[in-house]
Amino acid sequence: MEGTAVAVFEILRFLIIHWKCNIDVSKGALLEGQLEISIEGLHSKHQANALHCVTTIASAGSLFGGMVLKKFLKEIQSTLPGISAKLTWTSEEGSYPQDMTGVTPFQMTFEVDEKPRTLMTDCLVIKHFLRKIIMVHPKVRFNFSVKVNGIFSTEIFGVENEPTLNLGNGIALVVDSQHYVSRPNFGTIESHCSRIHPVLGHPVILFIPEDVAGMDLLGELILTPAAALCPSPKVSSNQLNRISSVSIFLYGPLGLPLILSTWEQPVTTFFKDTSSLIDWKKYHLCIVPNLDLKLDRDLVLPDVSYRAESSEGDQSQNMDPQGQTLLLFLFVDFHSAFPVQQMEIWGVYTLLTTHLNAILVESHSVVQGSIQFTVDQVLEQHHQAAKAQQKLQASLSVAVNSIMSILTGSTRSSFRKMCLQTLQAADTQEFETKLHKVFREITQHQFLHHCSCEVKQLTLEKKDSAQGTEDVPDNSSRELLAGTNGQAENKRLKRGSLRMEEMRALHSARAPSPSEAAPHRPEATAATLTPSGRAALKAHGRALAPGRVSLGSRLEGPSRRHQAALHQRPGGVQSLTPVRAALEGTHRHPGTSLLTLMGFRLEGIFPAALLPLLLTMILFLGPLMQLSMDCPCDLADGLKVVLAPRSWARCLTDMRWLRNQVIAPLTEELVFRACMLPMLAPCMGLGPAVFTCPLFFGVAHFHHIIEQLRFRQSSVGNIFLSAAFQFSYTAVFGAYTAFLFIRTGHLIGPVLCHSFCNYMGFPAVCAALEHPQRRPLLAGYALGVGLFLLLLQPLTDPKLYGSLPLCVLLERAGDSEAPLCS
Amino acid sequence: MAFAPMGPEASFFEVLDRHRESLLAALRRGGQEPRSGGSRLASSSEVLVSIENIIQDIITSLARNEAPAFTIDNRSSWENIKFEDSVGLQMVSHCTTRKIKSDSPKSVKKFALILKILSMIYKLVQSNTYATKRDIYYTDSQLFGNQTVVDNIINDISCMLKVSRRSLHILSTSKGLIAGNLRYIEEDGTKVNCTCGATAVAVPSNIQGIRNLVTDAKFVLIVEKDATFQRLLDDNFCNKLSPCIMITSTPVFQHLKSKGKGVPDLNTRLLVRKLWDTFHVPVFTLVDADPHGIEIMCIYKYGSMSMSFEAHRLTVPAIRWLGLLPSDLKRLNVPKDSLIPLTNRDQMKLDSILRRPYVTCQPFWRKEMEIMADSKMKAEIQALTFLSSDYLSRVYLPNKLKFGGWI
Repeated sequence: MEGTAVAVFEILRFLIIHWKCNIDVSKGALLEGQLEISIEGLHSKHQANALHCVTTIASAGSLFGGMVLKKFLKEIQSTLPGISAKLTWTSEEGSYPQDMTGVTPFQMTFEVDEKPRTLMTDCLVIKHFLRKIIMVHPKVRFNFSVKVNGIFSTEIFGVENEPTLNLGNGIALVVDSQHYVSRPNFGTIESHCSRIHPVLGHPVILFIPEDVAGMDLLGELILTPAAALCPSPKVSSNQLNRISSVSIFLYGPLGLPLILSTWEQPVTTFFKDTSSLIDWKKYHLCIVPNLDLKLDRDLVLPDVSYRAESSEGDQSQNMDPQGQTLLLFLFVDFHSAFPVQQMEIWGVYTLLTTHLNAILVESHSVVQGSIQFTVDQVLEQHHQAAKAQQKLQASLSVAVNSIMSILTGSTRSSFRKMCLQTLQAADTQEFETKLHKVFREITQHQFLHHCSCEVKQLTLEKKDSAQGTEDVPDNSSRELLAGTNGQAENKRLKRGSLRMEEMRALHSARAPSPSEAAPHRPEATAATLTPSGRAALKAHGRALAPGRVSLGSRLEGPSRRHQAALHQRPGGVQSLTPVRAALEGTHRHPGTSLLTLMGFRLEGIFPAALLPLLLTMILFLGPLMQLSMDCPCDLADGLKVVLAPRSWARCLTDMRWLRNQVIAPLTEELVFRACMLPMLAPCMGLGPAVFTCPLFFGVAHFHHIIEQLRFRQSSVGNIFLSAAFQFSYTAVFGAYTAFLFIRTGHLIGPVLCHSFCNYMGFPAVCAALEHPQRRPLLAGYALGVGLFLLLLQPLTDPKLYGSLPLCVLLERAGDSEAPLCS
Repeated sequence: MAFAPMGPEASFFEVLDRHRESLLAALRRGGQEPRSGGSRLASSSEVLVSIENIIQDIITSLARNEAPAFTIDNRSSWENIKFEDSVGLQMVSHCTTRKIKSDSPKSVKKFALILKILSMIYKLVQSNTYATKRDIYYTDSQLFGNQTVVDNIINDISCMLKVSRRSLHILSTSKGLIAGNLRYIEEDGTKVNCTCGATAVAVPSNIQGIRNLVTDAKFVLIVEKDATFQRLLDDNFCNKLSPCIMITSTPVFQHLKSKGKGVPDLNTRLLVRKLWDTFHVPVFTLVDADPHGIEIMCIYKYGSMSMSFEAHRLTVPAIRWLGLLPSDLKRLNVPKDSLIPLTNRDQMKLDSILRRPYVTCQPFWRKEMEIMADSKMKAEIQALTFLSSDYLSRVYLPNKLKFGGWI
């Protein structure tokens, strides 16, 4: 790879970065347009045995709306120092006034002297580069023409009308397998499925090792794997094909190919170690690097390629040289809290091309985990498809045999003639083969259509969900900005600059104080987790999003940028960060994982279970006394009954008891306390949250109205009155349990109190007033309430229950004043 | 009749005769009786042609590059069923259909199986041989999976071709028994006389083929359970109330998983229908006082949803409910401990029957079912033996028949 190729790469890359940054990336729109690249070689006058090459890159039609060419020229010249070519520009600004058409056709030319042989390889390399670009930018077209000593050849690269899978973030993957594997031409159309069905893995954040982190990256590198199986041309319906080769395609930000600087040795050390990507043994495969990369093939050239050899386990089984190809696309993308500058992306490229190996080694375990998960999914998907295929084949042969049996058995010649004519067959034998073929083609076509439809729907859904999630943070942040006006802007800027300093400090200080760095780079810690940690991360991913797809899409596009932003600035957008953290991160802080935030933790669980219950019982002192007075049996007998296993068994089989005492408290507390409070509290503070949360709880009891209205159980007025009453006391009770939840940081306390209160019901005050032993009873009521108010603070002292995750979260978010936390 | 046993005196049948008169009057009022079921039987060549047409359709659609599909009337929802008092449950003329496509992963197997069974039927019809559903299942039990699949597909084919199962040359083994004053000649010329003592005759498997039915019977009694039927035979009920005919259909354990109890088989239903069409004698049912018994009675009377496309050949709307009525339990003071509480499943079944269209025109049935629903108790016919061992044949049935205790 010599001057021409390098120069073309760099220029194209810069062009596309520029282009992409000019159109709004957040829209996720695909690039569209056409570029002309022509190389003209003539025998050089100065050097013998060398060609004087003039390379022209020009845009056809409208390409860069509103691009300022002079600025572009300046920038590109500063970033292309290694090119010894002469760069000239021809802009036709004069003839096409910018403000009139908004279109600026441009042309840039450079000249270089090269040997004919080098030029040939260069041309091939450029072609492959172009092919690789159009795989993810399907709407871009390249006209590549070479003219050497008058011999002219031209080629057009474009896949405009081919099916694609939208990956979001402005790139889409072409899913026609003809670009990825060569298929020998069979006479019959035996082709299985010409489409690949890529599975998008979950994105992982790459950790940049310290020794290469010299540059100021204000964002994160996120790797998203996508995997697909290229079907083998041979359809073997009986047996699942095995993987015979693996091709890896590396793409950098904006879907630009990553050409490693050590291109002559395409296998970097990370990829040389075959087990570093996937644990192949799991699939009973033995993978060796495939160095035999033919440049002259008409395919997209993989960056890394492996070949499968039969593993030690089954030596007997010979590997099919035309088995399936596993395609693995690794998209490394860059996300920053701030609008990404084109120079920044350029920097990322430089970083990636030089240090990709080190980065991948550093993030080895997460990368492997994500890829393995993706490959698993692909294989499973393929397995299902193959099974369905088998079923189809079996059913078809039954159907065809039945038709044949009727046809051959028929005594009506007109019927037979008609059938043969319809398929234009001469005799029954030909009819059978034709019938089989037609039947298979049609059903298979429909079948495949069916599965490709699924892919399309998948993309659509993906888009929708992506938009759905995008809108939320977008709007809220916008509102926030509007609400706080310029102040917020200022703050944000300040914070931003602060943040930058912080980052710098961090880079320098990371080595001595990893513990301090840990909270700022949560994914970094995740990256070095043990496999179990990885599993947890995976599980978390599954649990959080309804599926892998939505997780993947949620992290796409601007939403991913938001996420990155939120990770970067713990104290940033105040109302959002903790919410996101609560939603997102089990790995936010060690003490504030999702489960602990929801009150599932062990620290201080015994006091948390006992003390709130005790407090509630004190409040219910009066009703309890009343209960014991009205109870026909004495205490010993009562205890005997309570402790008897039979009574428990009876309780546990009684659905109503289970509902009132176990299920309802658990689920209601889970929803209205554990799930709501960690989200409400960071938005409105602890105090308001305590009083807002029970409102939801009260409203949730309104459905009784509907029920009562429907069955007309009493007059409308009474129904609403009782509903209002119920609303008020559930709200009061909800506030109490919310208070308990925040003060103890445990879910168990509120659940037990809830269960207890459900058992007691609303105190029967009227009955107490008419009770024969009215006086002691009323005293008990009063004493209970008094003691309760007295003990409310000391018994729920947060010190008794260890560190409170919610408080820790708020503290980190800069909300240090929270009065309930002390 | 020379050997006719002495029945009760003539006055015993007064009410029965009046009932018969009213039934006949109702028939006359309704114009000509509904098209006699057995009359229009598709001939073999018609069946062959319709199968050939189906094959031709498939091939034409293949030639047009379209995936072939079968269209079958959807018989699994009540929306496609209309109720007519004189016929029972029938398919509505423009019912929704469902397609069995050859290009969807879900239905391709069913498509192939339908073709397979069609080809077998074709062979059967051509060679004029008969096979049972079980035979068909055993030709390739691996492929079919289980008997239910075959049964359903045969019903579907019957519905699709609008031909009765018999014309498809598919038999189902008869499980029913018949006893009483009835003589007939089977298709192959065998003379059958059911009028003998304590043994019953199996219901023939080719109902369409029987000829020359002769009977003096005043009524036909359908007995739900084989055990009760035997008991009545042993008590010489047939002779005591002669002349009469008794029919039972031993439960066919068709859907063991879903129902647990059987439904009357096709041949028995066809026979009952034939007896009604030929003689117009009153038909009564004696079933358990439980939802399942009511269901069986409803199937005899109005037909079932899955066979609704053949209702006009199978149902006998003149059937009346003789016993065991839930109100009888109270009236006769049947001891409480012989009653059985309704299970949840019974409750659900009862509710579903109460929702069916035909219940609206049977106010008395509705009342009886409401009594059952209120008492939450059911009873088997055997509950009457608590009163006395031969209470059923000596007291209960004679009294009911004499005084018109049917609804």
